[in-house]
Amino acid sequence: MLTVAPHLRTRRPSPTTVEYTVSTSPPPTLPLRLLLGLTILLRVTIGLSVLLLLYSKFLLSDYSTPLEPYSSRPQLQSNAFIWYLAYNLTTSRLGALFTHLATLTPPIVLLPASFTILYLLSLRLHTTESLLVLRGLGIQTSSSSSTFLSGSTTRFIPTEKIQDIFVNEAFRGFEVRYYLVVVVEGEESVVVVFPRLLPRRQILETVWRGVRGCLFEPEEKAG
Amino acid sequence: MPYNIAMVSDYFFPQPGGIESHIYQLSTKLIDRGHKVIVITHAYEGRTGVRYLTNGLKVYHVPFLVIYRATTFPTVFSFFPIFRNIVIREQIEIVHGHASLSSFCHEAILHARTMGLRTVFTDHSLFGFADAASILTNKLLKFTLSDVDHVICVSHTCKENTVLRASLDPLMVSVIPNAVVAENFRPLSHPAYPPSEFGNHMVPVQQHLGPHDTITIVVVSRLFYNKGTDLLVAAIPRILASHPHVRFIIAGSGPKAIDLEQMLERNVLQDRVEMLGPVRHEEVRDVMVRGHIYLHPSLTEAFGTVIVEAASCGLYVVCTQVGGIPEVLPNHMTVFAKPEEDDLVAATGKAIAALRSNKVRTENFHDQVKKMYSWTDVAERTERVYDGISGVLSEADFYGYDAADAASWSATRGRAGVQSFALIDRLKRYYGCGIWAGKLFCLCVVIDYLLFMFLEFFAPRDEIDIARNWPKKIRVENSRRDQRTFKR
Amino acid sequence: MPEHDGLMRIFWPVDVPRSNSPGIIVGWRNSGLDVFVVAILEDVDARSVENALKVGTLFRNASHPIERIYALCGQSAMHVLGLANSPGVEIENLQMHATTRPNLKTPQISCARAATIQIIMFDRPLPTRMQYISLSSISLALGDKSEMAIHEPGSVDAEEEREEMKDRQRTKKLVEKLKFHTVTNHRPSQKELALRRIVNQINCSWELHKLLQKNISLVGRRSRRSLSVSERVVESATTMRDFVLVAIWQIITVYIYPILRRGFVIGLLCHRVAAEALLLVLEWRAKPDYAALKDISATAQQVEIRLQQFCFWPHQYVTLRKRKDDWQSVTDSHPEYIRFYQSLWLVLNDIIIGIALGSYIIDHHEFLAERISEILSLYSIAALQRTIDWLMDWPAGLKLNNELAAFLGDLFLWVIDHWSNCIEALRPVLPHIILFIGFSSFAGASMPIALFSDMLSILTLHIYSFYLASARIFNWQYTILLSLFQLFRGKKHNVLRKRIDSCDYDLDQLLLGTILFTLLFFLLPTVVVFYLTFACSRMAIISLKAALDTLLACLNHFPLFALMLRIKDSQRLPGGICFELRDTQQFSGLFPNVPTPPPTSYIFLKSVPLTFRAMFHQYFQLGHRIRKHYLSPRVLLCLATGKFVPPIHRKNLYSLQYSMLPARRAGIMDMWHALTAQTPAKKSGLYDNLKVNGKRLNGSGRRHYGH
Repeated sequence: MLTVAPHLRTRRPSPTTVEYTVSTSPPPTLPLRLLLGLTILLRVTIGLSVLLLLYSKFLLSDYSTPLEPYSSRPQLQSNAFIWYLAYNLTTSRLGALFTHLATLTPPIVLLPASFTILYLLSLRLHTTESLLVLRGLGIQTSSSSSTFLSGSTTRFIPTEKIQDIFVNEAFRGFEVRYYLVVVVEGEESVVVVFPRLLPRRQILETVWRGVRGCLFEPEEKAG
Repeated sequence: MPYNIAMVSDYFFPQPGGIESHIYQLSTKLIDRGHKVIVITHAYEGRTGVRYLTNGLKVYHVPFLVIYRATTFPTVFSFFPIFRNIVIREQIEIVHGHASLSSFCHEAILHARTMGLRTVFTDHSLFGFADAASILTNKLLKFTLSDVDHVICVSHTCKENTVLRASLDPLMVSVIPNAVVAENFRPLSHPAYPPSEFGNHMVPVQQHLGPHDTITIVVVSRLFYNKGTDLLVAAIPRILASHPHVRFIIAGSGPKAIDLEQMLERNVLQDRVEMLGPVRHEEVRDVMVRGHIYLHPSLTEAFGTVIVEAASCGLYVVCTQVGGIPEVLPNHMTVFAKPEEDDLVAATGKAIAALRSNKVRTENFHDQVKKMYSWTDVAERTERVYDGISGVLSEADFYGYDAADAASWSATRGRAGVQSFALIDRLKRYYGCGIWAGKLFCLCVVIDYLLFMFLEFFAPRDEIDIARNWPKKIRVENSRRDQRTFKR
Repeated sequence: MPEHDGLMRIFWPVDVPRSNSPGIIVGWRNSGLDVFVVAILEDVDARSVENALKVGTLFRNASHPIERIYALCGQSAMHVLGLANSPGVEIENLQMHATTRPNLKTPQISCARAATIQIIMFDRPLPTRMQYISLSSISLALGDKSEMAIHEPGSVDAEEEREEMKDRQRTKKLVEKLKFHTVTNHRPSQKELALRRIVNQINCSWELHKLLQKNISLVGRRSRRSLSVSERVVESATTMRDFVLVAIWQIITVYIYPILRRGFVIGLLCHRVAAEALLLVLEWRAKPDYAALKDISATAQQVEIRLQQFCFWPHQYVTLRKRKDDWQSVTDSHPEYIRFYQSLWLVLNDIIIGIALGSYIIDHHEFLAERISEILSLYSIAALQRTIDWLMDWPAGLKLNNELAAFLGDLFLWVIDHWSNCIEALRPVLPHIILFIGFSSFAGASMPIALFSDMLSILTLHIYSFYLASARIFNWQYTILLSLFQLFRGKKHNVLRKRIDSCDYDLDQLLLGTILFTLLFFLLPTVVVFYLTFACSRMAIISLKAALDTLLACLNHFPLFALMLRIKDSQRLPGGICFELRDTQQFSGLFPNVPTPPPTSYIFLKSVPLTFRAMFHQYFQLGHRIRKHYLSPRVLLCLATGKFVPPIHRKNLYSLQYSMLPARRAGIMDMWHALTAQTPAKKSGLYDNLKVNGKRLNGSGRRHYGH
């Protein structure tokens, strides 16, 4: 429901420029947006609770100084306000629950588990990969990263360095898959387009035909 | 009707050898007849993935662990997922396995039967019955061949051997011999084959050998124990001692090469024996035409393709009378010997004497061999086997057996037209392999079936892309080459 | 070459003023329909601009020759490319009409010959801040010297190097062969070939734009009015003030500054001579294959690196100063700049950390000396003795041969005894050594680490000798066992032919051989156990030294400056370019009198900053080298058969250390010439361009405005 099989979207503002995007995100509708918002909310809450758990564990350990209570509410912009908030949070019911949990779990389990959870929370839900073809310039492959922390990696290949573009098949795990590949002159390894998604043959053939039609200028007609 | 065939074996190019070139030639000729053929083999050094060979033959080099002499690790089930994926994407109907020592082949036949495809097995070699390795191999063969549609052997001796080893019904086994590409193995004086001279009659010239001309004896083999290199080591000094004008040329490599070299050094025969080391398949003809006699001291041989190649090059063949060798060439082309040193020396002496007295017309050998063996013929006969197992030919036509007389037909093989795929019928066939072995094999088959169900669920068929086919040739009825057309 | 498809490509800078007023578009014309817009000039007319561009009026008063820009951009002149916001005016076929509006980010272009249009918008990189774009990543290291590692022949590393070389050649041949298998042969069109030039044009565009805007007043008719009286008074006052300033400056630069400068250069040269002498000592080799002092000792290598850096700095500085002689858009020396300041900064950082560390060491040198000698005697002497005692007495229940174990154990124990006596004699000296190390750390934190590493090597010399001895014994035993095993099988190793032959042995040979084989085979576990112990301890020491060396490499070559630059201004470290297709609505409804434009695509060109992985590339290489040397199967095989695993030659492992330095350092005379040759040029440079309020100081004295 949240992800679909990789499908192709094309943007062609002019015959000489075309962008093919393959992604696992379904077309945006209102229910979907609500659902995505819900997942973001869920992630944020889980992340904050993990952080709170870690903080409670830290307070319980020997390295920290205990928080003092504040008689009056300090100013909003001062440092003391943060400690005031922290004290209120840790002494509230929720904080007490987390402190109890923190005492139960030994640090050898808590630290790796919380880091794994934080890593899992930062993973993106959808993968998007695209191929931008510009006649007279070259092609650019882009692939989104797996976490929210970094943007997409792009690679630009000028046309004069493109030796060939074709669809080939190869073993991957327990199956044989088709993949679209660009051979760059002078380089040892080929560049695979859509490396993470590896869409199906239909999509690859469409993209391949589009790229060949758009990238290379039409030959001179004789006569 | 055109079939989609998968040839499965551990042994394929780039490794040179008889089985490899058999698979290649058969596949090429089947493609010429309009079928679609792919080859599944394991990955070699530097060669893994999907490749296309001449004539549109697609080869899948599956990355798998190789343990000994190009044979993969015999895990019973781990080949199934990839095999299923390849078979579905290529829409294979018939799986044809080669070589009884190839674990890929056995696994493929088992999995193909589980998936409901037709299977054929070709055996290329002879095996013993007495030593531990043979007993195990035979049991394994019994397991695989309990449920195969048809078996092909390359000679009648091989058929006897296979039937005994795997306890098969002899009607299930056909004999289709190997062939040679005679155009590649021409004698020295024979010009190349221009296509326009098809049917032109060439008058072969007889070579005359005087009493003091040097006679060259050629040996081309992999120097292993079962190829009789020890016999060679013992015989060469005696032959050279008794015949002063004789030279040897030995091509090939293997563990016994060192013994040969030591023998040469001990007897100081380096000027009379030339060791060429490994030669590539394309160069074998050039080596053979340098000689007059071909010596084949093998201890066991199912067919002996190299003898036919030697005869095609116009060499007089001296060989040991073992295995399927007597079925291969007519008597006037060979001198037989027992696999003993004295007999071999005597036979070689006879051959040398016959050549010196010009009693043997070696110049006719090439044309005779050309008429006897051709790969197109092999392909035709193999296609008939495929027709038989798919039900295109009726039982009576295929087996030469009256369907009404089905009472003496073995119960588990009885079927309505084609072997049934129901699991219970298959289990019945496997159960008869032995007291303990039968139960173990049934267990394996059940696990295989469960694995198949698991794969069908987790890697569904509609997720697998169907592969595009190489453009197919329209089948031609006559052999004129210029009438061939292409269609996609 | 006529364009077949009517594709017009326009490079449009983002910061072109978006107004409604008409203007002239000027820029480079790379080919028929491939144009690059540099600026839009307002309040001028096309004909005069075209003339001005041809004549060169618009490039007057440039600080450097304009031919350099022309050469970089691959063109001989700029042209008028079209008109902005002047819909009715007639233009040539290849020129374009552009329409800009203040509220729209992108212009709308139309051209008579264009069937489709690609507009590529880019941000102008600021050369004053050393920003630029590049198709390939900036290279922060001076060439890859790791390929040139030379190993002693026959060693483990040489084998691996040969394998790697073969692999590389095979891959290169395959890559060459690929060229024959291309299905379509596509001749690159002019647009595709122009990409490199266009990158240079983008880099130069800011400076050109500034120049053009400055000189725009020179084009067309401008009224020349004479000065009013008040303006004349102000002008003469400022002239007088400037005159006095210039006179003072002249005194300083002509009389005082050169003396100081010459003195500094001489001082530098003396240091250089001393450095050269020291470097020669450090690099001396008895034979070309033998190790020099810098290969054995970490301290020597550290000193050598510092000296080489010190020798290289003047050259780098001079090269950087030469930058002022050329346009700022020329980007060849930017990596040099980064490298220079990086090494300066690293040395400074090193010294600062070193001072902190040094003061700590000096304050606690007694305590440290005590701890070190305690640890040393515990681990390298007492623990070893205990282990050997344990080995002599059926370790872990293994039944070893008592006599042989006693013999070997006594041998090693005896050597350890002598060694510990020597160490005891050294004990009173240790606090002074620590004090010395503390003082040396004022020269950089890397010094104490290097000295510590060397001290470790010296103090564990006995373990190294034990390893050598036991490895040799094990190797002998192993070789003899192999040979006797061949005898057992009835074979023999033929040394001439390098193969295993079968051999007829006499009965007494066979008997004796078999007895010896049995004896040696049963004595093998004893020897193996001792060998394993010493090999493990040797490996532990080597890994400790490798860790220290890695720490040194981090200190010496952490890309701190590059990291800070990346965070502060990532456009200074380009790692490639990327394009982004933007969705823009069509304008068809907005301009009733403009015909519908041809299909246009708007693409944004952005510079991709250098990735972190590329910055730390050297570290990955270092890790790879260490792993290749110590964890490869070949090394493990050597360990298993008792062959020596030599510690990796420092010069091969730490090519990282030398990546910032040139392969051959410049000689002393080169340095002298480089430092002194520029002074006359610099002198004239100072005077020539000195202007006072627009007129030259030493010129002919005529007053002009404008020209």
